[in-house]
Amino acid sequence: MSNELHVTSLVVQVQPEQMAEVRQTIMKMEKADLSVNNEVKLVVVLEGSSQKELMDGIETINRLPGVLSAAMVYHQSEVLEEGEI
Amino acid sequence: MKMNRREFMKANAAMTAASVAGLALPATASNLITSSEETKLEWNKAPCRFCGTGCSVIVATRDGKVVATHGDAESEVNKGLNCIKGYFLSKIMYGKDRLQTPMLRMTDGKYDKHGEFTPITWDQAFDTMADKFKKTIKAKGPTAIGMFGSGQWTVWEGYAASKLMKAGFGSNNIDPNARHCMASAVGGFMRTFGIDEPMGCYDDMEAADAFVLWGSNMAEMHPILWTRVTDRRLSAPHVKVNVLSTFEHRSFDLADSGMVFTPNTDLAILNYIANYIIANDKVNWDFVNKHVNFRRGETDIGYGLRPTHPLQKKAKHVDTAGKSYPMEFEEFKKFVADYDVESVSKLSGVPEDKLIALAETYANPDTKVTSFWTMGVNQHTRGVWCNNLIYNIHLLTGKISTPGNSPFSLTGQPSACGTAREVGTFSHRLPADMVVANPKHRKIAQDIWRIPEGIIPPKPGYHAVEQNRRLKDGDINAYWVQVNNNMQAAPNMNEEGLPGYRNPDNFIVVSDAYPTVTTQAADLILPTAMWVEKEGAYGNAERRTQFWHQMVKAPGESKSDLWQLMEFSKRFTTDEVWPKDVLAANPQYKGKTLFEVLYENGNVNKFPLEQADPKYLNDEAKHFGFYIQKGLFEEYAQFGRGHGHDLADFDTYHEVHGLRWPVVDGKETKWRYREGADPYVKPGKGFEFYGKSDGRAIIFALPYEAPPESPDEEYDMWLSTGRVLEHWHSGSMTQRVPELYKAFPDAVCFMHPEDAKKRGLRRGDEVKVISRRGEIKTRIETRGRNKPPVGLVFVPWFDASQLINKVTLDATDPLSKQTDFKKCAIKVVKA
Repeated sequence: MSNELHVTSLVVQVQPEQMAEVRQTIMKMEKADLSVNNEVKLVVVLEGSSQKELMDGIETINRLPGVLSAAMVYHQSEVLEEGEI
Repeated sequence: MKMNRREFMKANAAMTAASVAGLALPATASNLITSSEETKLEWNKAPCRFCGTGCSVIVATRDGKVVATHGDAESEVNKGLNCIKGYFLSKIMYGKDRLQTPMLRMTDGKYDKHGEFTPITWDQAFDTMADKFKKTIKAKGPTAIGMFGSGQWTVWEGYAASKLMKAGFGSNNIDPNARHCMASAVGGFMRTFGIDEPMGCYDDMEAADAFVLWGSNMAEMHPILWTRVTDRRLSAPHVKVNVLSTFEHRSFDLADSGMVFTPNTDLAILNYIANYIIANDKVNWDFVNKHVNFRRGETDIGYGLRPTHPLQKKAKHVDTAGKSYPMEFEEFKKFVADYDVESVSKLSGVPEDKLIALAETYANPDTKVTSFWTMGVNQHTRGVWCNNLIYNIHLLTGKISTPGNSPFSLTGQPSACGTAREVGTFSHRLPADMVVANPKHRKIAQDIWRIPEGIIPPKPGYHAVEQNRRLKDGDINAYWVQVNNNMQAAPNMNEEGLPGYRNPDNFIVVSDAYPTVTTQAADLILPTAMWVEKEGAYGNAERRTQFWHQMVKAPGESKSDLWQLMEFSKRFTTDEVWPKDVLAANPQYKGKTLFEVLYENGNVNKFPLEQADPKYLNDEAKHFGFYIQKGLFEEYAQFGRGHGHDLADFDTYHEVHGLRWPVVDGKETKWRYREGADPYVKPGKGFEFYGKSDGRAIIFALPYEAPPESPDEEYDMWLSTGRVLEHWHSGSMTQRVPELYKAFPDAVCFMHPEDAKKRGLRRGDEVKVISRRGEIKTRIETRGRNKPPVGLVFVPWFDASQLINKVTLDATDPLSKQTDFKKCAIKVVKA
C-alpha cells in the first residue's frame, strides 16, 4: 500500500438551486470533506494515496449535475511515516 | 490542540481555497494554521505554458527539480485558481521519454533518410544541418528553405527565429502553427481596426450584463476564464449567458440560452443580428457617424485549396479575395435586409424566438455585451469574414472599448499573441503589425536590425499549409520545425504532410522535448529545453506580457530553441547566403557570420551578463557571454514603442505579474481606442480607431456563402474536431502526465444516439470515420460531455494513434490561409 498522502482543495461553482443536492452527494464521498460554502460556491478538500485518486475525485465532482466548474487551488503530497498511516 | 500532519495539510488546503474563493472560515479553523511546512522549497512566478489565458502560477523547486505548482493569488488573471492542466505543470518536464541528445537518421555511420535514429553530438547535428541548408540555398536560393514555429516560442525565441530567417537567410518562409489557430483573428482585426488583438481585457467579464459564446467551449478550453464568467453569472442574477455551437458541450450547463446551429450558418446569424439592430432602430448613430466607415467585401473568393482543385477553379474572385469597396449605410441596410429571422432560422436550425432574443441582447442599449470566440470562428473557410461580422454588431451599437462591452477573440497558445502575432513570425509579417510587402516597413526593420537594404524579401513566404504542399512538390528542401507537432496538427496529412516530410529530396529538422508524430517524420531531432528550463516571456490573449526566470537545468544535452537558433547562425557567413550585389554595395558586411550580423550587432549584445539577476540560472546568457534575452527584447521593443505597441522596459516585467500593452509612462492600458483609457486617443475624440488613418473602424457587408464540402448521400454526416479539457495542443505534453492521459485515454467519436441506432451502432463499438481523403478507427460514444445533434459527429484531436487530420479537408480561409478543421463531410461505418 502506498504511504503517500495527497491533499488538494477545490473551489466548486454550483447552480444555486442544486447546491443542497451537490453538498449531499459530496458528503457521501469517502475521501472528500466539505468546507465552507455560500449559495453558489463551495470549498472541498480531497485526499488520496495518489494523484490519480485525486483526479478521479475531481472528475466525479465535475460530473455532478449542477456543478459548473471545479478549479484547483492547493496541492500537497507527503510521504507519511509508519504511525501516521 | 495538537494536529497530526494529515489534519494540518487538510486545514491548510481548506484555508487557501476559502481565501481564494472569498469565503470566510470559522475563526477556530483559521487559528489553527501557522506557517507552511514547505520551508525547503524555493517559490517563483511563471505564466502557465499551456493555453492563451496566461494564468500565473507559483512554481516550487527543490534540489534542481520542479516539485509543485499552485495558482498565483496575486495574479489578476487567475486569482489563485488553477485548471487541471496547470495543476500538473510540475510533471510535464519529467516524462520518461524526454529527448536528451540530438539524433540523426543514419546507416553505417552516415546520414541516410531511411536510416535509424542514432545519437550524435550537437556539432555533428549542426554540421549536417548546415551542409543541407547551404546546398539548398546555393542550388535554389532562400525560398527553398523554411521554418515552422508556434505560439509556444518565447517572445525572444520567435524574434530570433524571425530575424534569422528574414534578416539572415533572406527568406520569408517562416510561419507559426498559430496560422492554424489565430490567423483569421489577425485578419479580422487588421481588416476592421488596422491593429491586431483585442481592445478590451479580462476585466470585461466582471462588468458585462450578457455573454455570447460564438462556438467556443470555454468551460473546457479556457476553464479559468469560465470560472470568472460563472462567478459573474451567479453573483449578478440579471446577467445572461448565450452559447452557440454546432454541438452541445460543457459550456451549455451555464447557458440561459443554448443554440445549436448548422455548420457555417454563423455567417447568416451575424448578418441577421445586424439586420435586427437596423430594422429596430437601435443603431448607435452618434458612434457610427463619428467612428465607422462602411465597405462591401469581395465575394465568391474560393476556399484556399490548390489552384487545380475544381472548387478553386470555379470561384470568381480568388485573386481579389481581400479587396473591398466603399459603400453607404443605406446600401449596407439593404444588404443585411435579406437576413430575416424566418430564413435564417430555417438555414441555421436555431428557433426564431432564440434568434430574436439573441439579437435583442446586442440591440438593447442598456445591455453590456461581451462576445467570446476561438476556433469555431477562426478555423472557418470564412474565418476573417466571421470575425468582421462580429465586430459589425459591436460597432453598429457602439458596444466596444468600454468595460463589459467587448468583442473578445480568445487565443489557444500561451504566446500566440505575444510571439506569433506581436513579433510577427508569419510569412508576411514583421514586428508590431508591419508587413514585408510594405517598403517603409522593411526600411524600419532593416534600420533597427542594422542590416543593408535588399535582404528582407518583399514577397511574402509560404504559409503553413503551403509549406507542406511545397515540401511535397520539392520546392522547399531544407526545413526546420520548432515547438510544435505539425504532423499531427496540420490538415490532410496523408496527401500533403507526410509525403512532404518524407520526400527524398528534403531534409527535415525537428526540435522538441519529447518524441512526437513529427519527430518520427523527421531526419534530425534536436532535444529542447522547455518552460522554466530557460528564461522566457509570453504574451496572453488580453495583451498581457509576462516573464519568468530559468529555475531548473534542462536534462542531458537539451538546449533551448533560442540557443539552437543562435548557435546555428554561427555556421553561415554573409558571403554564403546574401546576394552578391548587396554585399558589393555594403562591403563592411563581407565575411561576417550571421551570428555577428544578427546578434552581435550592438543591440542584442548590448547588456552584459552582470545585469542578469544572479539569483537565477541563465544557461543561454552564460553560454553567449551577454544578457541575450534582454538584448533581444529591447531591440524588439523598438519596433512598437511610440506606435501603439509600447512595451515596458525589460527589467520591469521580472518584477510585476504582467502588464497589458501599450505600456506608456509605466502605465498599462486596459481598454484601447477610448479616450481616457488609452493614451493614444487624442483629446476630444471620444473614441479613435487609430489603426486606420482616418481613425474609423470598418463595418463590412459580407454574405453567407456555402462551405466547401457539405454532407451528401455517400458522406452523409458533418465532422467537427476540437479538444477536451485534460489535453491541450496535440497531447505531446499532456499525454506525458499519466493522470491527464488516464482521465481521457483514447479519442472517441461523439455521436447522437439516433444516428448510432440508424447505423446499427452501439456505444463502445469500433468504427471507421471515412472522408474522401482518409479514414481513422475509433470508438462510438453516445453519452458524455459532448452531445452532437443528429447529422454531426465530434472527434477530439489529441490522440497520436487516431490521427483525425487524415480525414479533415485542407480547405483554408482564402484571406487568412487558416485551415477549417470544424467541418467536412464524412461517413461512419462499423470497423
